[in-house]
Amino acid sequence: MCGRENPAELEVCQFCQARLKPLNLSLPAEDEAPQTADGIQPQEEASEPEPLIVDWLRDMRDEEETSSSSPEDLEGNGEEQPLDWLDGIRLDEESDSESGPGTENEDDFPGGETEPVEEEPEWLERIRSRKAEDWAEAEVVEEASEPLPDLFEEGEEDVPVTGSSAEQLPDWLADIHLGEGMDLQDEQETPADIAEPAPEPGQEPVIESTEAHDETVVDMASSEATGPGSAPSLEAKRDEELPEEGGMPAWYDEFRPEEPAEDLEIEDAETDADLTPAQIPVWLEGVRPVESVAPSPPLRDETERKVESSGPLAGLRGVLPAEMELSHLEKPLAYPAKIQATENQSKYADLLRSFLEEEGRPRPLGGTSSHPSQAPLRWVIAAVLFLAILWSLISGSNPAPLPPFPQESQAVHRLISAIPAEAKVLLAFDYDPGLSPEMDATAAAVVDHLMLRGAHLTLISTLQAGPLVAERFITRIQDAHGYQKNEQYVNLGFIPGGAAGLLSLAESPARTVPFTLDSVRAWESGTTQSLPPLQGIRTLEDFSMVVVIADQGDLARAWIEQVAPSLDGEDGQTPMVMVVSAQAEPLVRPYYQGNPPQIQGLVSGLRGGAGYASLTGRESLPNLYWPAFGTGLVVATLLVVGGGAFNLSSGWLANRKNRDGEER
Amino acid sequence: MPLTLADLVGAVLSFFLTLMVFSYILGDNPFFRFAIYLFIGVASGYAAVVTIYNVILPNLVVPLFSPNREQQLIALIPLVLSLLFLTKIFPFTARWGNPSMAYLVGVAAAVAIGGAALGTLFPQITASTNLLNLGLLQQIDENLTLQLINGSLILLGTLTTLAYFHFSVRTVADEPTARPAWIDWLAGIGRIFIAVTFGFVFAGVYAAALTALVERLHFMVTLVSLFLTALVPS
Repeated sequence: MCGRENPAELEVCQFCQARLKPLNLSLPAEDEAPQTADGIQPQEEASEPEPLIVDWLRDMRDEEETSSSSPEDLEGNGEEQPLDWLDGIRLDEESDSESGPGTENEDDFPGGETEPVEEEPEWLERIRSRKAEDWAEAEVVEEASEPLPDLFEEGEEDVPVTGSSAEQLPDWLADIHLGEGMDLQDEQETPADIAEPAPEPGQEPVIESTEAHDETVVDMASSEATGPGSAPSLEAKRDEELPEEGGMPAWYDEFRPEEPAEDLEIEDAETDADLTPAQIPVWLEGVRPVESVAPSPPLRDETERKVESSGPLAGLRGVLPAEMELSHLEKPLAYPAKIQATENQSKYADLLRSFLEEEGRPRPLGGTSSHPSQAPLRWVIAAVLFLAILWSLISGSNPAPLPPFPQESQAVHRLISAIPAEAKVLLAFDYDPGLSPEMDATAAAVVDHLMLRGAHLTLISTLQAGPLVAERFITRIQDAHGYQKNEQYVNLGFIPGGAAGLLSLAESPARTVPFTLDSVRAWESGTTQSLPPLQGIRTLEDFSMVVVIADQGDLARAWIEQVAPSLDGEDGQTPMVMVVSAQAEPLVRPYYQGNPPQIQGLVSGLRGGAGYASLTGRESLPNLYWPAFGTGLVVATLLVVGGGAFNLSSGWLANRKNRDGEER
Repeated sequence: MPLTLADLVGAVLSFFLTLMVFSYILGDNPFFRFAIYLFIGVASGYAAVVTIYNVILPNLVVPLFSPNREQQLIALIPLVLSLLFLTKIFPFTARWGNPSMAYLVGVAAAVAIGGAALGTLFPQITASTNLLNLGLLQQIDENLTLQLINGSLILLGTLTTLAYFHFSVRTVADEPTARPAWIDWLAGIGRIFIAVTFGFVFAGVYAAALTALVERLHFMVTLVSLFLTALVPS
């Protein structure tokens, strides 16, 4: 049914479950089938299957038989190879057809009894006649196609359709196309005469399907109804052809002469030579396939004409075309590539595209407002300062009085005044040469006071340029006191390591700085004595005072953190005094103003040095710079105030202009 | 003190070098660069000489060659560490100097942290708490009211400055991330104290620079007058 290829040993199609091999009826040996002179009626009234089934089944069997080993296999037992009897039936049909139709005997049918044929309605007869004409044409075409195998033809020859049987075939049976070799028309038996066998009472109606036919084989075997060309029909035909027990039909003998004649167990072995077309009962007519009554030629004709040329079923006739679906292939529809979008969607897409294009487009740079150069302003400010200071230095017309000494400077003065004569004072010069003008002016009065007291100074520094600065300070600025190196003062040079060096100095000064700047052993050793400024000095506590001159707050803080804690001795704390730059004063003042204070005195900036100079009453360096320094402070103050006022006013005017512009 | 030739040459050089530095008012120029490069070179050279003669020789070389065995052994430690530190010059041997670098960093960090804690943090905290100590204030024998006001201002400035640098916030759902309102108020006051401090520092820097300017101009005026006096007979 499905047209697919199945193995030969299968009886049922593995795809559509259609019956491939007819059911093997439990019949006596075919040899026992009585032979009749008339042969088995190819058509019976009780036969149900239609010629369509007969043909495809025949074709399949042909193919199987051709693929089988030898024709002798076909002569096997009828039970083992049911195709044998089928072929025999075909042959018998052919013989019957040759002999002429209408040779059927009703007694040949298994049923033995024939129902009274109902008279067909007129319209049905018309249909059958028309169909017979169509099939006659189809048979002509089919005859022009490849011939059937010899075996089949031989078998067909052995199955003649007698004229008497053909004449007696019912119309429906006559309509059935028997194919080559079974052309009942030649035997005066039209397909219309090949009517479906009238079912016996109680029998199931004929259903045009392989399965139904297979199912009805058993029924048919027990009934008179047999179909031409079908397994059950042949089976039944075989049974029918057995007129008597022990007798074999003629066609069977012709086909298998070697086989002993076996009487087929045919219930009704009557052969009705004068078989008249059976009248299809009403109920049968109801279940009759439409194709059989349809005015149009049945599909079976086309399939039978067409021989499959490809696939596993090549060569078979009546096979459903495998390329049926393929022939309906059409060119795939060409879908439009353009996106179908609505107007709004297109508008949004265009908008998005414009945004993206704008992102990649470089924006033109706006005109930057040209700022006026700051150089002229810088020149003006410098010129004003230079002129003011030079005028103050050159003219000396505005001698500003020295400022009052601050409290922290007074504390330093008090401490220095309290040291004994030739006291040992540690003097640290921790400032760079770049700030030496201010630091020299700030520390000049303090060092001058110390030198006036006759203190022995020990110079030291944590900066690499400090010893040079210290040496210059003592020899150039304080040259009036005439201090001698290594006599009144000693320069121990540079302390490496920063804060770690100060901590080392606090723990052991002799080990930290064993030599002076001139590479002279400064401290007491086994062979030499220490220098006079360092005599009796083992630790920092032995100094009478520690004066730190620093220009940066970090350096001053390092001295306070590392050295100040070690100055507490049994005899009291050795005072530590700071002489710092004006920029370091904010960082150092908390150490003086704290309670308890960590430093005992503070002199900061030129103002502090000038104030200390007023305490000593000695002309010193601060006195030279103070008037010009004051003028510079005044000019700077005026410049800062004037510039701030100008900035505020310009900002206010600009905001006002913007506000007016927004209001407009 | 009589002026010698060396002093005169030095003075003239100082005069022109000062003019070169002043030329920066007109902008960056080769004269200014020359003066700066000369200063850096001289300072570096002097620093190197001081380091060699004041540090390496007395603290490393002399102990190595001293007859004292103990000093020799002790001197080996800085010698080895110094040689390892020199390997930092080359990239493929730089890792050998890591022990020396680690020793330096460790010692510097320890000294700095210890000094900051014991020398600044604890004493300053104690001093801040003593600002409002009436017993101690009475011992100073000064205006007690003024001292209290001074102490209160210092305390207020300290707290508000610390509040200004408080940047941790607590995140709350559906609310903007911001500091509490009272911390913002204190931070605003602290901002005032910080601004005053920065202004004070700027004034000190300007004062130091002004003093240097005055000193240099005074030097130049003095030298010019000296030359004029020498050239122009009175």
